[in-house]
Amino acid sequence: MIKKKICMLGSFAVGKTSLVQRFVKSIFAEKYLTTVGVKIDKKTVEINDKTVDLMLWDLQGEDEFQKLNISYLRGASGYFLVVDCTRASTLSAALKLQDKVREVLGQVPFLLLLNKVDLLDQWELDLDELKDLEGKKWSMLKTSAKTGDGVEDAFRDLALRMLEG
Amino acid sequence: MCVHVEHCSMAYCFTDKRHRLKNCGGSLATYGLDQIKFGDSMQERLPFLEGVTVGPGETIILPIVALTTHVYADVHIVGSKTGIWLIFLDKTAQAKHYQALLQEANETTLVREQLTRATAELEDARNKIALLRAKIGNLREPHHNNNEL
Repeated sequence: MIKKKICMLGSFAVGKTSLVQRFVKSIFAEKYLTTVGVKIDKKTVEINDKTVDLMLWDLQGEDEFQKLNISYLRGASGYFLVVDCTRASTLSAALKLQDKVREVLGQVPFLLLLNKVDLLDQWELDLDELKDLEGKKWSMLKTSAKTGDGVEDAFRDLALRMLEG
Repeated sequence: MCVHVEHCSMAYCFTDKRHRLKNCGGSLATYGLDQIKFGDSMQERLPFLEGVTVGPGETIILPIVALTTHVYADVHIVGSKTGIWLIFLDKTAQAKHYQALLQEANETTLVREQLTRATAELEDARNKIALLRAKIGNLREPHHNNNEL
């Protein structure tokens, strides 16, 4: 059995927990409930005829007072940088976070998730900035934990990249 | 509040390098570990062990880990020559207190962000109205001048 650890990273209230809950339990809760510390979930997926146990580390969101505890990252094979597309500040926070994580984990696969795309009318992210990131070969996917759009694809995509890596 | 170790419902496990249980003790039930038996795979029971390798003398501290029993624990993983020690300290009370504070702080920040956005939109709308007023004024002015003529 192949086991892979994935960390969910990003600012607070971007939807990290909701994405995990959608992927693992196919549920979505409207009410925002902040995560403290770390909660670990597991989901088994089939990727290219291989059974893979994904260990999902849902980490407390970053803010100006609470910084990422790097001991949580240890042993991670990949990670998601989650951004709330209705809050521009969460993208710049994700970029800073990626610098820090790269120092600890090195070049492991990651995906930038532009979450809450069901709220497209409130889109606030700078498209030029996203184009720059595409130019840097960053992979990004639009997701909605609320509707489920893109969620399964995101986890499968990262799992595939981790297996290939 | 848990200040001293004896108030933290401490439990410990010792596993070999393949994470098979060799020894254990303390308040195991607090962490849902009361049914474990020697030889059990601790990796199956404790998913946070996945991918974690600890060298002899090395220590990793995972703070506030939400365990399946709705208990939050600080987990100390200490490497030795023959395996690893896992030490659990109950931090449920602190975590719940912290969560309540963080929830309020985060919600306040979100409201403040919304207010900032709404203020910017209002300011934008005001500027547009001022521009329109100026244009209307300019349109009226020649007409007014014509009347004078």
